[in-house]
Amino acid sequence: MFEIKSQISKIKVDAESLIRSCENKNEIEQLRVRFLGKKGVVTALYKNLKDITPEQRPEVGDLINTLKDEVARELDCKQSFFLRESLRSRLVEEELDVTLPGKPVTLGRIHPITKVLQRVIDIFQALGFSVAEGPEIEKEYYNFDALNIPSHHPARDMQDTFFIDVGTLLRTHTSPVQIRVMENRKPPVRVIAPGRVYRNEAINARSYCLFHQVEGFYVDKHVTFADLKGILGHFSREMFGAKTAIRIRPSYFPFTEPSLECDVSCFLCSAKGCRVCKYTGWLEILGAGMIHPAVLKAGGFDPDEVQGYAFGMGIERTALLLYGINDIRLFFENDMRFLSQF
Amino acid sequence: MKISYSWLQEFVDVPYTPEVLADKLTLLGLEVASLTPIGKNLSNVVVGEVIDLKPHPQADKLKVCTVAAGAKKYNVVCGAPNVAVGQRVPLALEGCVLPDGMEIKKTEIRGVGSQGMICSQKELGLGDDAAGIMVLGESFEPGTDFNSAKGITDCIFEIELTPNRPDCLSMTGIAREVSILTGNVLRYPVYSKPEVLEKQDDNISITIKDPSLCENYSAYIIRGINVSPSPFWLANKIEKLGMRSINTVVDVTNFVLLEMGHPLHAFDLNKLKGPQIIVRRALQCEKIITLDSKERILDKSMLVIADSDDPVAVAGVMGGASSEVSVETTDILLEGAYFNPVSIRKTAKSLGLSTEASHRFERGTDRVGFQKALQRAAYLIAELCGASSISPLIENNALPAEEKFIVCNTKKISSLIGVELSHDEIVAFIEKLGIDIVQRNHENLKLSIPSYRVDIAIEEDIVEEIARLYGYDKIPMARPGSTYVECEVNKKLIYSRFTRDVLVGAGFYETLTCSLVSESVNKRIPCWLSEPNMPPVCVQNPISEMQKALQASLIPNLLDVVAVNVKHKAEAVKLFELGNIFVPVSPMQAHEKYMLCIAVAGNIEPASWHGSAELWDFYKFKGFLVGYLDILDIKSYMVDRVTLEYLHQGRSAKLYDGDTFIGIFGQIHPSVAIDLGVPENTFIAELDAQFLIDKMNLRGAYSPLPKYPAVERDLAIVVDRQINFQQIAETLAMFEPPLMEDWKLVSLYEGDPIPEGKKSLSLRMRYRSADSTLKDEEADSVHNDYAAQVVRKLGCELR
Repeated sequence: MFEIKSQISKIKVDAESLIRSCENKNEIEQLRVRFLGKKGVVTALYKNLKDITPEQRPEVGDLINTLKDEVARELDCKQSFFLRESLRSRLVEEELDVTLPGKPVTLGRIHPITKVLQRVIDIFQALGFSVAEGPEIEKEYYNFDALNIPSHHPARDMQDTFFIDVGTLLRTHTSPVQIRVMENRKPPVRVIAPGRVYRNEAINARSYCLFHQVEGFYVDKHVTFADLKGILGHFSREMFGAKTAIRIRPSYFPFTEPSLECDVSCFLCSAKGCRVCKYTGWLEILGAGMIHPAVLKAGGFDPDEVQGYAFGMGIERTALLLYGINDIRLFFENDMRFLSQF
Repeated sequence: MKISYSWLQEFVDVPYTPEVLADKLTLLGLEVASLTPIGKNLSNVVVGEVIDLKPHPQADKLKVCTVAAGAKKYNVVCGAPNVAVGQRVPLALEGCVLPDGMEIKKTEIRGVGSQGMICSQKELGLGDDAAGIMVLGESFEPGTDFNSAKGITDCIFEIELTPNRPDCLSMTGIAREVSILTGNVLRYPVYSKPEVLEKQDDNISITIKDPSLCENYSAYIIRGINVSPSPFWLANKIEKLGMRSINTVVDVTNFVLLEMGHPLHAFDLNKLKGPQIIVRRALQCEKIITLDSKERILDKSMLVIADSDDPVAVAGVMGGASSEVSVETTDILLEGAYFNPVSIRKTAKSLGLSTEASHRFERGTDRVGFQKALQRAAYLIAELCGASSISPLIENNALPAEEKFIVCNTKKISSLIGVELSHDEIVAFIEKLGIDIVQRNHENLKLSIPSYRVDIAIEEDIVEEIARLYGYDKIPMARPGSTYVECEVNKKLIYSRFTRDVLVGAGFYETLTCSLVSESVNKRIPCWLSEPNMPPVCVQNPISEMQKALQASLIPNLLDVVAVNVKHKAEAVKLFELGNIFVPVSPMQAHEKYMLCIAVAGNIEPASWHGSAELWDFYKFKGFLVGYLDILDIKSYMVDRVTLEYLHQGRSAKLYDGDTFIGIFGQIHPSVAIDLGVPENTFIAELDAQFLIDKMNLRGAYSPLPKYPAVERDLAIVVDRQINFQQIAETLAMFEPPLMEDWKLVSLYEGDPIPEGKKSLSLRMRYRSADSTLKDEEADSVHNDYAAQVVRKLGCELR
């Protein structure tokens, strides 16, 4: 009995000192086998239990159990120490130069024209405008006649036209969509029509043979000029910044009466005057007006029952101004060095 | 159109500086594009009178002048050929700095002292005339400051008039607007009958063949005139507005044109055969030589002024050379008329001849007021040219002008503008506009529209006038979007945005290219959606051959963009475009189709220090396209070989769904790649976006995640090389057991030890039960049965 007790305490002391002086993971494993393995020192103690009287067995059994737990704990403790150590040194070895360039994962870009177009669409969609489209090859009737621009009207000079066939042309504006929408719907209608339009103009830094336009119109019983002014003010602030002011002035379009041109305060110089706004503090961005009764009639609406406004703007022009670009051709060259700037 | 600020003051008091006036006019709808001051900063220039002239003792071409300026006299050496005693001239004295920077000093020229310089128009910055010194009119008092003399310093406005306002195409037209704006009195030109014999019986026959084209033709005959250079005041006025001074007669017609806006024309009466005037349509192929010395071939649609034999003018466009007024002319016929605007426009267009006259006639002239202008010009010519007699007005009023009335309602005017304007306010505005109210019936007003306002035809035109006078800037901004209008979902817009977001996220750049391309593009890369050999639809009036045809495919332009970027050393080119193509169905008809085109070339990502970059290949590109279709939830399509001349025949495919051709994709043909200057591994896809819009499902659909684990089993088979993957997939589908969830190809191998003409495929099947964990034995049994069926059907071997 005494003998086995002193044996237990000696094993304990030996194990503790051996584990303490242990220097790596392998030695820990060897010690685990030596003490706790099937033929280990602690395991062997259990075999000696049979030489002890049954009355003393529980006490001695407890002592051996405690020893076993203590040794196991010491081993685990030391083992996790080594794991931590090896992990720590691995992390040191794995150190990278975090300032080196990453492996390229390039993201794409949305075309600047699309960006501006989407922004315009978003602003008007949020106000309850639907989006409609029409064909690019258009009937002369929709492009001109139905919009109160009869043949040989001087206003046809305002838009140089590409002709496809007798009575067929490439639309010069998105206004024909007005007529197409009115033909298919009953008032009230509130629609914007984005799209490509064509002008027979020489290609240079300032003009191109095509561009994008957004046409918008609203026809209802009591739509007024003041409503139009309100929507233009709202649009301008959303598009160009909360401090943007608008200036509207009389103008002429055959399809609206009264007609106006809308200027916004120059956002490039905060209306102080710069080269782009020609030192006026104003930038011309769109044309608008109350829809001409002849146009309402052409669309099948009764001008005595309803009235409405319409407006139109060029997206390229707006984008040129917004981004301070001086050559419209850049939009259609698609040089990635240009596109990546947006 | 140009307007002179100083001339304007003759017709109305202008209480504004030129800059302020420019703003006011712009806000009134007369957009001022530019302001050009002339004659500014000229100090120490006086009006002098040449009182003596002697030859220079040392130089033949120089003269020594004595110039009196008030009490002072100056000796001035002058080399101008036109200097003469009695002239009043601008004399620049010591201290004057001319616009070109030249400083005037007392100096000695070839031994003779000179105390100043007599200047030309150009030297003073007042015009382009540098041929001789500027000779001033009698109204210039010697000794006075030249700068402050009337009409010298000025400001020229360039106004961009909208085509609806021909009434503003003159000095008095603009003055009328200024008068409305300021309330100041408008002073029309005042003139009186010259002291010349009025020959009552002087007449000429005027015939109008087609009154719908010429309603009224009026004329004066002026005889015994002396055609000479114009006096200073006349030449100065028209030159400042950009016209060339020719002689008194021509200058007066131009002067009145600028002043009152009515084109007039003078014929040399003795060169008119008959003499008579016939206003008629030209004969087919009739010829006339116009004042610009060009022969014009006319047709039946054109109106001419003819004498008894031939056309002497293209009506409303340009006079003829044969009856041109010259210095020998003694008798003239001065005409004024009202021509049909559409007819003048058509004529000017087809002759390619736009003149000051046609510009005004085609926009609509004042069919009543023109006779005033005619009279004004006739009297002025008679006076300036010392005429011996003048006829009364000779007139053929073939279609008398009708007065124009508009009925408007003051309530409606208010409602359109959106501002509560009282009846009285509106009436006041109308009166201010010079429009007579001929009847009043409560809110309804009957208005008589002045004949010069050709643009006012309907009630809405009155609305604009009132809004304009009220001030567009004063109209309040109403709150936008107050009423509910049913909105339509635009699937195309949703699709386009989604596609852009997905592709941009995948590293693609969006491009926009020109829809107009060279016709030859279609030959190399024809439209895969059209009938073979169908030429593209072309515009009839292209700007150039390069922008002639409507693109029948997005591929050519996108490949050009690839080439541009490769040229600029872009390493990883990934591009797409969404846009319309025009599929030709006949030479002048096309279907517009919305397409998505995708192009990649070279490296997937730019090379970097990490080592060589991965290159695009067919399967990577296909994998990307399938991933894109997958995110649109489009699965019902098949892939098959396709032969297109511009694609690599072994690496090109079509996507289709039953009979519908959805798209094509593949590697560019190596020779096309060389021609275009793009890398050999350039891949392109063009998909029918409308099909994708119709079939896409972005809503998503939920199915519960599996509760029990899956079991995987492999199947390795060796098949004939020519059996394609599609056939194997179809066979697998044919026998698909209910427990199989999915399968995939894990390896594909050809070569040793696989026999020649065979290939080995490893397939991995995944089995799963929805309501229990699958036991190994169950999976084995299902897999083995499945494998046996597939092997039997394909006639292949297991490995």
